[in-house]
Amino acid sequence: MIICSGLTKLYGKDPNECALHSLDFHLDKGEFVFLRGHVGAGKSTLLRLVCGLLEPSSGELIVNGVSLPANRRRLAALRRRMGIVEQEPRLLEDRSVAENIALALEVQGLKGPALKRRVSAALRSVGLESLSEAPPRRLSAGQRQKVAVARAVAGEPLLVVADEPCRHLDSEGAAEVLALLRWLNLQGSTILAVMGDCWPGAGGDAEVAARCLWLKRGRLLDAPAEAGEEGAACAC
Amino acid sequence: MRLLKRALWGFTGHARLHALTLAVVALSFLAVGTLRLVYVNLNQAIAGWQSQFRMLVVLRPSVDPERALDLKRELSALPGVSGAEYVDSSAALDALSERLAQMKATGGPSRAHLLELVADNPLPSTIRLRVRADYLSPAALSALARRAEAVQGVAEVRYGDAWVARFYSFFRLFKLVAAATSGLLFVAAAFIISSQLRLVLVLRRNEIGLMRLLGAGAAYIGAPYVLEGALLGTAGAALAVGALFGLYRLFVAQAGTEFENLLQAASFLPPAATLGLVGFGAAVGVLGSLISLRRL
Repeated sequence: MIICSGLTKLYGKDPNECALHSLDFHLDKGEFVFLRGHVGAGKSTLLRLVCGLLEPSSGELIVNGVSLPANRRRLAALRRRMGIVEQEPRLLEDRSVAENIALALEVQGLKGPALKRRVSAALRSVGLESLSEAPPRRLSAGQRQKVAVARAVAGEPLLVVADEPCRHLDSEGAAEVLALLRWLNLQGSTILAVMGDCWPGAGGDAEVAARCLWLKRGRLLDAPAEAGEEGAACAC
Repeated sequence: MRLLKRALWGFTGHARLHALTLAVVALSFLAVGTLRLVYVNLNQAIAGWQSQFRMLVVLRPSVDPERALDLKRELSALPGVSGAEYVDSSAALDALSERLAQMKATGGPSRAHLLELVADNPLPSTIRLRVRADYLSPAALSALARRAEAVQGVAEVRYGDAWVARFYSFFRLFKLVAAATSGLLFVAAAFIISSQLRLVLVLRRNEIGLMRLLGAGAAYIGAPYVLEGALLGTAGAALAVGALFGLYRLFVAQAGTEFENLLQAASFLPPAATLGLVGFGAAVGVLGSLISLRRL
């Protein structure tokens, strides 16, 4: 699903400011992978590269058969098969919660009763049915995060790329979101999720994800212990 | 339906901005419509003048009625002439005295005594030539007049050449100015719509960014803006046509008594031209939105 070979990302021209340094890894179809590391390790940069929001400085990155960077048409087609959760959820403030979720499905060409069914199912999966007609400004940070997750999974994507999907959520909410991702993974979706430092493991990463990728200063680590004490403490 | 809903969403979302643009577009189209209305009425006036135009061929006093009929045949055969009518000097005098009598009957000043001042008939015999519409340009009329003057027995040819030349050059200049002004106003309207939609795109960059993230293509993102531009252009042009009709009626009502003769033949834009203006509004709106979406 994701093939990454010698992937490097530089911000600016200074090679010392290398956000990602020659990464080599691949994600198979149906895998559930946590991407972990400290602040500034390069997790979000890697996710933004996978989503086509950034262009690699060098190396090869292939997502679902599409070599990135790709032209707009191919990138749009790729993103329609992906569910993306950003670190800070972007919602349309002039539309209701249901309409925000429906937007992702409309882009895929879904309409009518099928669209409504999917929106209801997505809202149910994050426990926000009662807020379907509410405007986003009435939601708490955690609820906004849940709407963003619901929107990402509503289209039953092949690949879910989530940047700290449990941010702003309490342990109960985090467990709910992870259970949803796990369920989606069991349906066949590939999941790549960044889990930040604040993620304590919620009973152990291994219960949710099959694999962890550790990043430190833009490099992939062979062993989690290399990430430092915190990394070792919540190794999967 | 969904597309229309998204476009109307844009309208209501930035109502003030759209109202301002609508007003500017309507004003541009009002100016274009006014030029078009003047053009249509000038054209009508020209058509009326053309149907009544006669070239007056004045015959020498020595030409007798028999020779005059020969001349009539000869002049009728000239290129551009569609008909000829011989009016001898006594018939011309009768027509003049009749006209003077009519002036008195309608309350005008009596000038019948003028004819009593002259002992002999001062009016010459003439042949009035009807000229085909395609020969009514100053150059063609001048050429025809030269040919007629060259005919034996013709004293002179009168057709108001100076007036015809002035009128035609004025009309040509008007057409040029009207076309240039209309073109400029259309371009200005397209750019106004484009700038406004560009502003709307900036205001909605969050929404557009999100749509891109969700995999929306340029067509999906741009379609409501194109429709929005078309609606703006159509509504602006329709408003302008409505305002122009109101102003036209007001003008006719106010100036009716003073310019009765002039306004008798005046008319509003024909339905095809009205629809054309509104259609052009839609086209200008689409063009404006496409310009604004160039870099989307």
